[in-house]
Amino acid sequence: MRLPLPPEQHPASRRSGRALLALTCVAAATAFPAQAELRIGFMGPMSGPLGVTGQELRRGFDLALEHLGGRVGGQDTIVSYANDQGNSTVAVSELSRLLEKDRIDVLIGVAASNVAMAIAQPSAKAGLTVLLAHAGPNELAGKGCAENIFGIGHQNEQFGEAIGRYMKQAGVKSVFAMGLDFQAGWDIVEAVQYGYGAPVAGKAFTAMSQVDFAPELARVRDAKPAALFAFYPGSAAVAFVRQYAGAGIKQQVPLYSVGAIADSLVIRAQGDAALGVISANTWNAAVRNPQNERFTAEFKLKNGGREPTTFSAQAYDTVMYLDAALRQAQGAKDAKTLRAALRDNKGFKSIRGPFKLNSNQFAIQNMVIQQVEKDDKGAYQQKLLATIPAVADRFAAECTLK
Amino acid sequence: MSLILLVEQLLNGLQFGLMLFLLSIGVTLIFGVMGLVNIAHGSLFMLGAYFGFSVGERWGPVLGFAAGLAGAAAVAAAVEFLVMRRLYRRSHLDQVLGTFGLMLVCNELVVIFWGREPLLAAMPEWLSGSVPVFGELRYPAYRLAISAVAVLAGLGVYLLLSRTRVGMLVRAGADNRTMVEALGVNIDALFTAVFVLGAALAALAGLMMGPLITVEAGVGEPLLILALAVIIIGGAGSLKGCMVASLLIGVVDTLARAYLSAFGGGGRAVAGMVVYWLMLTVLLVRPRGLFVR
Repeated sequence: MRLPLPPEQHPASRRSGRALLALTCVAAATAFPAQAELRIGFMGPMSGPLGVTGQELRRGFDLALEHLGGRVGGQDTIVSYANDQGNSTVAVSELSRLLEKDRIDVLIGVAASNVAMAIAQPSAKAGLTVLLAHAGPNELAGKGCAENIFGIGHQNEQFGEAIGRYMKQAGVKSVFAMGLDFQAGWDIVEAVQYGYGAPVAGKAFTAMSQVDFAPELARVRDAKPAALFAFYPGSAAVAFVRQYAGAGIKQQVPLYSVGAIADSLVIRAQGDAALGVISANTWNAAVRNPQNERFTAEFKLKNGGREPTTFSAQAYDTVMYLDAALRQAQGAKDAKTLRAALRDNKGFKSIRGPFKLNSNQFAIQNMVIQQVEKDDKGAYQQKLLATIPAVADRFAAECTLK
Repeated sequence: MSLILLVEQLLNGLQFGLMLFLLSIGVTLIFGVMGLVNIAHGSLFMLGAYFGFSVGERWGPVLGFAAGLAGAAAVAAAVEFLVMRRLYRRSHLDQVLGTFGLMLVCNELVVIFWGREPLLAAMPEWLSGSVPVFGELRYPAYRLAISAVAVLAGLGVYLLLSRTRVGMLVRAGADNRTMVEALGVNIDALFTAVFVLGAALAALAGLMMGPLITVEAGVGEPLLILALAVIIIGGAGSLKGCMVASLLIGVVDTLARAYLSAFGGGGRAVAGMVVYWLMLTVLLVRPRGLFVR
């Protein structure tokens, strides 16, 4: 067997030829940085207690990408998916991975408020533009507002304020409030009081792990309020609504809440118990515009006839928002031009109806008031009762942007 | 603070206690008889509910109920044979770690097979109303049904353990495993039977409580924590202790939540701790539980 010649013994001309070739390749590679495509990062809680929300956000996100033919803003788009598990520490490390390994240009998503807070600083430091599809913590809308963060989904206050305003309009005499015992629960009751214009008659916050609401419902029955406001997002909605219906107080104390209390993800498990529940939401299938009709019809087709929820609607809208802004900026991805276009997005048509950005870069939108009822085929649907127009938030004044 | 409200809250407490009892009988049986700490008991609760309501949705409540019990029993038998047998002679810590891992696996498997959205757990129509109980107080019929089932189940287990030959063997095996084996009894089969019985009781709890709570992956865990508190307070292996401790925890927890939460965030925090303070006190004063010497 003949051994190959050791390198030192190759003819000089061949060696230098190879070296020249290598050098040319390196020069060529560095001279033309290959990032002509748009790189989007999607981050959400894909597993864990908020897993249902994250998966639903992704469905709206993917549908929007499909409608755009995989080209956001007219550019080839590469998407990197990340799972923050609803956990701040995981979110920060996932963000680093998206920035360093996947080199994303824009981040879309985020459901949990604590995750939004956790990535605010790291993303600002990295100069990354973040479009929040669902999360909308009060701090980021007020003193903590940042020019790289856009709240396209909603600001947390809007749900509470909308339902509060509706209860006031409807002449509800007194309200008892129940909710999960954590920051979002306390905040939303504050927002309801703000919209309602008066403090609530009584409050009962329950621990996250609590499965039996009988004692609190007994307190509600005893207090005899004109209405009950309850904040039980996610799967807690099923247990709460069923027990509320079982307590037999539906006639005397109607239930007001926010969309997630009886959306298409939980209504099947709730059944008739959810009938009559009134909730405030950012989106409803009956909002009339061509984008929404297309979105709702396609979503139902892809998901076995199930209607979209606020999560899929917001994620869809956020992608479309970016698309419109990018087209307006003529494909420029640099932070300054992109953010200017995001701030002053003229071409965006929301599935939710009229949409504007507040000075704190959070949405100003119409909130819908809807009620659960059964149609003649026995299927549950959210009937559109009223629209609360142009709901903003209380914190914009504290924001020092612009 | 009206009388009607107090009566209602007491009723709530007793009913919550009986729900806990239904779940705890299985845990105390397994821990008391076999000395096995089973963190995966909540998973059996969950599987009972999942099997039962998935089948029930298609083929009606009766078949669903049977499927829930049978399915959980089958899984329990398999798990006992494959996993638990290796854990009986190990330390309690090893048992905790092993069954904790089992619980995590069960939760993920449920997500893989059934998805993340909560499962429809239908409540039978004839039980969904309320019955007059005290003056103008009406109480949900379904909750009363759960209480009734819990009492019957407890009675059944008591009769099984004290009046039947099998029950006698179980109690003997718990006291002195080696002697019973030497007398020619197949102790392995006996222990499998006890484990399966415990699992069936957990599944029964899951099937009964399903319509009231959210049936999703991990539904059993919050309740299991309370069930362990019941065992600690009542004493492992004591059915009487299990009943008394369950009712005690149910009433104390409910009344604390109902009345202490009027004192704001601090009150709520204290209300959440009351059960565990009770547990700590019992551990200090009577370490083996109230009814075990």
